[in-house]
Amino acid sequence: MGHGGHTDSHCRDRVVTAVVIVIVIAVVVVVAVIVAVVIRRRHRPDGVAQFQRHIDALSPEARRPVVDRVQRLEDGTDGTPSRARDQGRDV
Amino acid sequence: MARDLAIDLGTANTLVYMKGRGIVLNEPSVIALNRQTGEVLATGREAWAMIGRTPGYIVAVRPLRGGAITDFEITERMIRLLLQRVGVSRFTRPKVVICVPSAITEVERRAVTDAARRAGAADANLIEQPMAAAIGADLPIDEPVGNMVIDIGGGTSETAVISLGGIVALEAVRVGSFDIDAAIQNYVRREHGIAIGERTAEEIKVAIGSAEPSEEETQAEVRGRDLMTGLPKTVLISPDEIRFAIEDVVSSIIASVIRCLAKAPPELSQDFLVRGMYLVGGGGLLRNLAARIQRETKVPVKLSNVPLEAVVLGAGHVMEHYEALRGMFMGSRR
Repeated sequence: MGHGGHTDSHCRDRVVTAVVIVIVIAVVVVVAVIVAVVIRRRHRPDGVAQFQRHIDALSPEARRPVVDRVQRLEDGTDGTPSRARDQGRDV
Repeated sequence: MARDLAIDLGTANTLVYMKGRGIVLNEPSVIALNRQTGEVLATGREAWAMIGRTPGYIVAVRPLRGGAITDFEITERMIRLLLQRVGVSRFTRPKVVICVPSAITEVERRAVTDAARRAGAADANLIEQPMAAAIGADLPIDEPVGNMVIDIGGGTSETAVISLGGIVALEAVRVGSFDIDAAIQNYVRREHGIAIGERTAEEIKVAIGSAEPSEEETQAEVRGRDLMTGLPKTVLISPDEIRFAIEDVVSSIIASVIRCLAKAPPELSQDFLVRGMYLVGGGGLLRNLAARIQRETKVPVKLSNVPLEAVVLGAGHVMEHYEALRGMFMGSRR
């Protein structure tokens, strides 16, 4: 009788160990997935911010150096350049 | 460390903008080769001066036609030599932004990026010419208003409507100022029986070519080879004749502008009437072309202050703000 009880408790221990291992693996996988998602979200720029950056890079202030080079190309005038709404040659 | 570059790889001319410095190279897209050894003899202006005047063993060619590469290997060599002139070496590999016509195919795009990478670029991205032209011409494309740009290059003509940093409508035809030169060559051959070279045809276009008659017009003396006798011959050609010769090309460019206007949303169309359209590119310098487009479209047309440099200046700006404007690269549309 004593021998049978020992075998039962040994089997129970093995099952418990296996369940614990499975639970630990599942927790690790879930944590890894959550971390990956968070990192990806952090790296992906917000659509609004990205669009704003794009528009800002095309603003008159951002384009000032290029406009200055245009002015220099046009026989070296140093005046403050205005935007094309005031530029261009009418025909 | 190499400074990053923006390149306007045009059918007629190649311009290079260096980040932080501005335009550092402006040369014809021509390369002269020894036909027997394949050795490069000259590039750019020197090679251009050789066109049609070379002995049998030398060939001076334009490796791009209609904005696309016709000879991959020669284009790669030409780009490599031009990049070497602006300081790019085997050890300094810059990032490059290259302007290409929007009409080119996926295969042609890949040919351009591959040629640039093999010629020494670390990374090559493409941007559509009308977008670069609009930035370079300083149009307020960051605002929610309709901006229209007509870019007439050597091999392509493109019209684009741009608003809020993106292209709204686009129309492109593979017709440009080289087609005007070819039309003049054909006309002189057919009507006067003399053969002229492409450089002479270009000189005629610059001297008396126009899209509309003007008050002061003079005839031009044209020298070529008589097709019957083989002897040199001079004939007088009038601006009327040249207008007739180039009419088909001019009409097809204007037709593409009208198609683009028709594609634009109505809210933006009304902006054009107030703000006008901007003409850039060497082809836009054809006398009275802006007036002719204005007459046919009833929309004011203005010639950009920097028609030849607008595209490379725009691409240069994109290079200066590389990260923020990555979305403008072809194939990276969000």
